[in-house]
Amino acid sequence: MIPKILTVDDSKMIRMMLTRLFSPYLCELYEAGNGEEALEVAGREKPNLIILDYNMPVMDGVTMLRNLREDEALRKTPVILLTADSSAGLISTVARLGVRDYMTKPFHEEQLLAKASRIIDLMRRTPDQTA
Amino acid sequence: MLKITLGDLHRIAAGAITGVLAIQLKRTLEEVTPNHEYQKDISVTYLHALVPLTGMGMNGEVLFQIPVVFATMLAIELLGKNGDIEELRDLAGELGNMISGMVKSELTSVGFSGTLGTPVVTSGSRKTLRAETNSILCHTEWLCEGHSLSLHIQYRENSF
Repeated sequence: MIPKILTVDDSKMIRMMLTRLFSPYLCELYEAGNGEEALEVAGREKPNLIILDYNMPVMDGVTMLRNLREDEALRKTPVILLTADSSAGLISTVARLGVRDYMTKPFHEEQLLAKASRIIDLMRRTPDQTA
Repeated sequence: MLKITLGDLHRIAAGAITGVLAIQLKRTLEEVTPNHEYQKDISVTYLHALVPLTGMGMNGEVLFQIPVVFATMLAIELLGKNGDIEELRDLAGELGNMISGMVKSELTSVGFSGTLGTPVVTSGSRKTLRAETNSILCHTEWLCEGHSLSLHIQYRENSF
């Protein structure tokens, strides 16, 4: 099964950086610009991993997580929080909501890949499997 | 009550801007003195990201400025194409957000408790935060590959 990764960030630049980071690996990538869009994409695509920002317009990352955990079909979806906010209160809140891991921005790309690969199988694409 | 000095703010500013540029963009910075000749070039257009910090007993602002031409170069590197103006504003805002996050984290380690606001991104000539009564204002100026960047932090304790 090819893993599906959903990246959720209001910054298009971050979404594109993440797409570029994961594109050498055999996976399907989806994007959302806020929590509301993310719930819609997650409901449709059932991703194997969500990389989630916290501070976003329309619906923030914590509200999105709460909604995700209340959805029977999505509640076990692994989430890595990727945010510029490193406050103890936020870490404690998302830990209670069962995030699998937490990274602060700026982030080392290789560390994010390592964290993702502990959750899903990341296999490099062969030349005939180009994204 | 927090006791932050200008020296503390300078150390925090330097750590934040050099950390973000090194980790996210693999760039090194050289600190230059204010009024360096690069900052006097009025033909350069900048993107400004202003991020408010609001907390119990203190508030402030973080202002990050980057030339549009340098942001364009970074966008080409990150996106593999020329960014349009909205993408460049997004890049400046995200860098401002990361830098402010590191500033907030450092302030938290000395007792600050509060939140980061959403970056407000504008463009034009260089801006300077105006020093206010009972505030500490730290200006730092940087060169990166010949481009002039700046990070200003204003910190003030609330009076009740």
